[in-house]
Amino acid sequence: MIRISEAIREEGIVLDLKAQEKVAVIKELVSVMVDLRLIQDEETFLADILKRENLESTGIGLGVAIPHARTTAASELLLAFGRSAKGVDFNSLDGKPSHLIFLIAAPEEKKSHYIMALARLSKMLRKEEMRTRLSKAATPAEVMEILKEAE
Amino acid sequence: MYRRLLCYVEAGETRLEELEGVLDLASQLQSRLIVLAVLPEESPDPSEEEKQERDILEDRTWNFLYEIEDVAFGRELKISLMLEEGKPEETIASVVKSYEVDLCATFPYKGLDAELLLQKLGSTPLLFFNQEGR
Repeated sequence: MIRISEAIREEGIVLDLKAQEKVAVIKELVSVMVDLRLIQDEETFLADILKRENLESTGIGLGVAIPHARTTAASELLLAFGRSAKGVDFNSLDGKPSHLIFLIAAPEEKKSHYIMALARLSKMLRKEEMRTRLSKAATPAEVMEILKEAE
Repeated sequence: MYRRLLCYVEAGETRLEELEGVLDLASQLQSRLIVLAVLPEESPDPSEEEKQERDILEDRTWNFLYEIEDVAFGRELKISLMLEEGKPEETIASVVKSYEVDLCATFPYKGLDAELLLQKLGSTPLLFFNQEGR
């Protein structure tokens, strides 16, 4: 069973993203993963994420975006979370900016884990209460608690 | 001409292979494919059993949507996923209108009233695919 709360660390949570534009936000979250030594090959990972981003709107609406990729740069399922008060345009179908952004990386061969993580996260974030709690969380530790409780 | 192609799917009722025809069509038309699934509206006071069933259905549906996305990505198709709640015919028509969909596709699901859907879609063309994906 995949657990979102086990694939993310407190240090991988950015409550006040500096970047304001989609690619810059993705780069900011990727660099968080790199700083944590979770991703070895930043260039490959970024290219894999942006390739998908160019084809899909990973903004799933309701103020949420989940940029994601299966990549050779990841050796396990990894997540980072960023929050933007202003919101970022992730080309969501509903046209609304994304405030809650989860970046997902998974190894190429772990397709089922990757799909399950995406599905689980999407399901969690459809709940208004969940989005509100994540929007108001004061610390990364609180975000972790919210994710654990939701699972 | 067909910038946006909407495909309505029901998880558990369609196999991934059956979507080949829809993916081919989106590829040929160079359309953005919007894959829509619709969950029934939650009852106001659901029992624990109903909550569990719904939870499983939603899990299964998201899994199916992301499976489709993964295949579409492999074909370099532009794709968006949507999961909504309500009655399928009304929700499909509402999404078609809201997102300026040019063409609709689906499968002959038992729970889908084709006549009602056609009526609600108005002038938007609707294609039904069979189990062979044709």
